[in-house]
Parts: sequence; structure tokens; C-alpha cells
Amino acid sequence: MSADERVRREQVLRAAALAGDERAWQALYAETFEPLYGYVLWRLGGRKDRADEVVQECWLTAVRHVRRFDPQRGRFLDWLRGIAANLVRNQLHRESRWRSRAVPSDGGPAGSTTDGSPLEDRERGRHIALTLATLPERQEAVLRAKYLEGRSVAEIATAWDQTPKAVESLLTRARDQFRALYDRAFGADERAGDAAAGRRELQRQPRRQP
Amino acid sequence: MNESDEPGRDPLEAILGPNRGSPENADLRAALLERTTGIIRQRRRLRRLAMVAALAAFYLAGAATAGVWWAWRPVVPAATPKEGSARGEAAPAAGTRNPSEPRRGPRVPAPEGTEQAVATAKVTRFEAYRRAGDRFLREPAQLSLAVRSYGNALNVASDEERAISPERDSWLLMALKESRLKERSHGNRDH
Repeated sequence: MSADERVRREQVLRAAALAGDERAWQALYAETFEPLYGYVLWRLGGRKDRADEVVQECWLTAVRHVRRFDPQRGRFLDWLRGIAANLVRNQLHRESRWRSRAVPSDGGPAGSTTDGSPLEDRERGRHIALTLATLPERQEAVLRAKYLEGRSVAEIATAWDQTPKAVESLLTRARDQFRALYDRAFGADERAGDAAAGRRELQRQPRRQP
Repeated sequence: MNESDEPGRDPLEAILGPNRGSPENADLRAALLERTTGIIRQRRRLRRLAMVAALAAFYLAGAATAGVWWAWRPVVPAATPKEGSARGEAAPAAGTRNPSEPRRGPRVPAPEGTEQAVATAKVTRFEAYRRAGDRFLREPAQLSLAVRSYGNALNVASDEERAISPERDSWLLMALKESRLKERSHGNRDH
């Protein structure tokens, strides 16, 4: 489907959805649910419970504000991804606030998880999410194209109208940046965890009488 | 071939690759579809409701405008019927009402308007005045207008029409006819 056809089709579907046509909305939904879910899950480092929350909020926001979607400016999926990216950012802020309050007393989140995944996986997922949220938009985009969508450098270069060399360079920078930020975030968290563990140990020891 | 296109050699593949599989989200998908479709459905109902409300508002506004126009439309100054004019053959003029028509509102036509209508009525002028008088007589507090209309009717009446008709004449018209007859008989006697 050419770009013009895509724009026309999404304009028709948008207008129909605004007029209350359920089938038009269902068509948009069916086409974009899985890619959106995959994107959110990827951005949140694979944490399914968090992804469910964000995806739900994202769709409710989309259906209420579908009038703001402009097919001329991008695909419906891209518009949804924009909403989801903001929601992911908000989610990470909330988590950070919660952790900053929780870490001094117990060293981090509780051992049980809501989706049954091991705590270590969840922590790793959180670090991935934080790192992706910290990356510049372009670097995040090239990592997404490469790792989530599974495109080759040549395909990305064609889609972005750039040379493979430029994409390769951008990808290398993005990888380096990701590794650096990921290691830094992981290390900082481990240090915070160690400090909290030390505090807990001190609290367990009986107080000496003066 | 570079590092990017060889997944086995890419250390980030394990972290960023879609290796976590596609989690089961059919329930979420169905629930969200139902919820968002409900919002779309609600939007359609609201649109219809708004359209119906707008149509009703337009209709009421039109009806109100027509009502106000009808109640307050200007009445053309009356021309008293001329004795020599043809007897009620002219079609009613635009913007005037036939006195024989039932009234559509609380407004009582001015007597000048009645006379204008009589001048253009299709019935005889006596009949038109008589009907106007009947209507005024039915209205509360319009007795003087009824007397005036009946008076005009008797002014233009033929001898046959001046005769009292208990079946058709109202009590007031009969009284006025009797009064006129007495006046005439007194006048004849004086002469």
C-alpha cells in the first residue's frame, strides 16, 4: 500500500470512527493491537503486568482523542506509539518515586511479583525500560527497528532514506550508549541495594546499652 | 556482513531482542476491544441525540418565531366599506384574515381590520359583518366591538337581511334589529 493510499484509508477510518462506526474502529484496533503491545512490552523490558496497564491506558486515551490523530502526519500505529511512550515514561516516573520511598526501609520491591516472573527478571526489565527511556529518540528508534522489528541495516536504511553506513553508525552509537547507561543504572541500583541491605543488617542487630 | 545482521554475535540481542515470546493477551485484547467499542457506540448515540435535539430546537425556534409574528404582525389600516362598492366579490388580500375563519390565537382583531376584511370578503358584506359580530360576541369583553360590527352589518343590510331571524341571529343582533326597526317606524311616524 502506497503512502497516499494509507493516508486516505486511515482518514476514512478515522472519520468513520468519529461518527460512531464500530467496524471502522475495530479495523484500526485489529491492525495495531499486536504491534502496539509488542512495542510497549519491549519498552518496559518485558514486564507483562506493566505492559497490560500501559496498553489499556493507551487504548482508552486513543479512543477518546482519536480526533487528534492526523493521518497526514503519520500512521495510526505511530500515533499510538507516541501515546504509549508518554505513558511508559509516566509509569517509570511513578516506579522511581515508589522505589525512592521504599529502598531506604527494605532495599527494593518485595520479593513477590504480580505476574509470576522472577524478581531478577523484573529488575532487569526495569533497567532495560529505564535505559531505553533515557536514550535519545533516534537511537531508541534504530534499536527498535533492529531488535523489536527485526529489520536489517539495509532495510532500515531504505525505510529511513539513508545510507546503510549512516544507519550502521547510528546503530553502533545507540548500542554503546545503551550499554553504558544500562551498566550505570544496574550498578547504581546494586549499590543502593547493598546500602539498604547494610541498613537492614544494622537494624537487626540488638542495640547496645550505653 | 556486520555485527548488526548477525544475531548470534550481537550481545544486545539477548536483552533487546523479542526473545520473550508473545505473551498471552487474548483476554486483554478482547476486553479492551469491548470497552473501546462501547465508547465508540456511546459517541454514536450522543451524536444522534445531539442531532435530534438540534432538529427539535430548530423546529421550536421556527414555531416560536411564527407565533410571535402571527401575534404581533402589523394590521393594515382599515378602509370602511364604501356603499357603492361591489358586494363581496373580491378575493381576500394577502396578509389579511377572513373574519369567518376561526381565530388561531388570543389576539382579537381590531375592528378596522374586520372592516378591511369585510371589504374583501367573498360573502355579502352584511354576512361578513354579522359573522365578525358573532365572533366578537363570543369573546369576553368584546361586546362593544360586536355592537359595532352588527351596526355596520345593519347599515349595509338589505330589507330581507334586516328582518329578524331567530334561527341565525344572535340575541344582540336581534335586539339591534328590533331597535333599528323601532327607530325607522318612529322616524316614519314623525314624518
